[in-house]
Amino acid sequence: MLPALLMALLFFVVPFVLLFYVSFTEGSSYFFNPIFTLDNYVKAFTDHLPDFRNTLVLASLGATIDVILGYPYAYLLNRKIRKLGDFFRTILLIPLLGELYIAYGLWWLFLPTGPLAPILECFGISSFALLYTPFSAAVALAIYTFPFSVLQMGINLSQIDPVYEEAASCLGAGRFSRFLHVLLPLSLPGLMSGWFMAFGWNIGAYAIPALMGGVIIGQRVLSIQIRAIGLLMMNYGLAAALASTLIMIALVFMFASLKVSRGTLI
Amino acid sequence: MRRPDFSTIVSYAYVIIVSFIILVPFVITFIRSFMTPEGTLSISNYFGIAGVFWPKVWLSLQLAIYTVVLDLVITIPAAYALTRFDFKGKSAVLLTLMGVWYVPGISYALSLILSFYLIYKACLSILGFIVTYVTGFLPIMLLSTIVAFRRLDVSYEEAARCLGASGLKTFLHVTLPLIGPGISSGVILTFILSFNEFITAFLLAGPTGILTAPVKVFDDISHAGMYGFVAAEAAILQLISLTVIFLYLKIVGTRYLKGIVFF
Repeated sequence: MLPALLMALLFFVVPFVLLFYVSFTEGSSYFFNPIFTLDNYVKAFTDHLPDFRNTLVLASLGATIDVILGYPYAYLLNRKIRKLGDFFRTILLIPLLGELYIAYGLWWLFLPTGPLAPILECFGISSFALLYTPFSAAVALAIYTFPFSVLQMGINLSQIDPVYEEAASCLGAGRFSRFLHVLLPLSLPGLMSGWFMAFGWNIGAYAIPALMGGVIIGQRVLSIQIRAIGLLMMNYGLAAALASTLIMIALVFMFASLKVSRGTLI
Repeated sequence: MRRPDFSTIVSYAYVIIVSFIILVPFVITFIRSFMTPEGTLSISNYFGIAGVFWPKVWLSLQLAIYTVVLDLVITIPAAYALTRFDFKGKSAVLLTLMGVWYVPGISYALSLILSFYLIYKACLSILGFIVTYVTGFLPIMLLSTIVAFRRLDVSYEEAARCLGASGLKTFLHVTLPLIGPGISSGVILTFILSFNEFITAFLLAGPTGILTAPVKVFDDISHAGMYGFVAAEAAILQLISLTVIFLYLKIVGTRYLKGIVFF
């Protein structure tokens, strides 16, 4: 056990503490002689409030799409689909290849000269209306985190005995009231944990916002700002403050997810 | 033969459509990699890839293999201790080991860069990538190893001990061969994730000057996104990952993925 613990202490806990520490120092003064200040957090919650808003809005849009599309998916894989079930589960492995490919593929798809444009023109939608809007980024994020939310909801649904639905059906409940009064209350923890998990992953995404309009002023998200402020403008204090806040937000949501579901890790 | 009823057809249709939407970005990159600016199909894009790309693919492959091997070496004893013994502070240990999985990649990368500048100066090299990947993907390997140990009946080990085998001998000759297939899911997932890791590698690329294959692809997308050779580069990386997944499913099947990424 020791080597693993040592790795985690040296390269996770120590950098984590350091990041938190640096977030209370001014600019890049930490490297020379640290000047302690709370200014970074004040700036983070005033100047950079729009970035927080953009990040949270995008992440929740993506997570909501995930839950809406993923809940029936998880339910059907659990109850209805017998043949080819493992094939559909395998497809869920593919977004694990990473956000970079998703961002690149969709970027080209949504380009005004891309393959989707002629189809959209048929419906009277301008081909310029998609790319670099929150919509395109949210779709990409939803694809990226789809497996995580489906996994949470699927584990929860597989623990619900179908007997409850059968009993309701025997007692004369219709399809809709069976769903509304039996299945939905029972699977609400899974639904919530799926949303939280997708949200927690979405707020850390970089490649998707970078290629789908997250760089445009007014639409910037935190991950882009952290890199720009820290590594390009060398204001490590402010970047560390933003990064620490992002960690806190992610941890709250991820642990909320695990708390409600008591599911597996990812 | 029983005719499928209407609700079954609708179920399959729904699942197929959603699966298709998930696959669109990946499929479209493949199609794009075979398209010329004139709109005809050809493999000329693959010849347009600059020679500097291939060493980076090799580097990413090496990094992924190092990560898998080192993660295996350090997680097996940890998972063994966590499943077979009860000790004080177990949940704190688990939290320390697993915590990194919940930290957004960008924050993790920034904290590592700060620590490399200030404490671990030797890590401003390829070593930095290795420690980042090993620590970052430790949770996924640990999870699958723990699941493998939990599924293994303790009685095999007890039998070996009763027959006079020492603790180490039992571990090497009984436990390890029996959990082998179980930890294969961790191996495959760690490989895929570390081969394609983007955000930490992207931030480390600045201070170290080392570009991995996914970072090179991102660089090319930002500078020359409209050119077909970028799609060819992305398609090659996807193809390598998909081949690994396909081979794994062909040889081992899906059963060891249950409880980790399957439900």
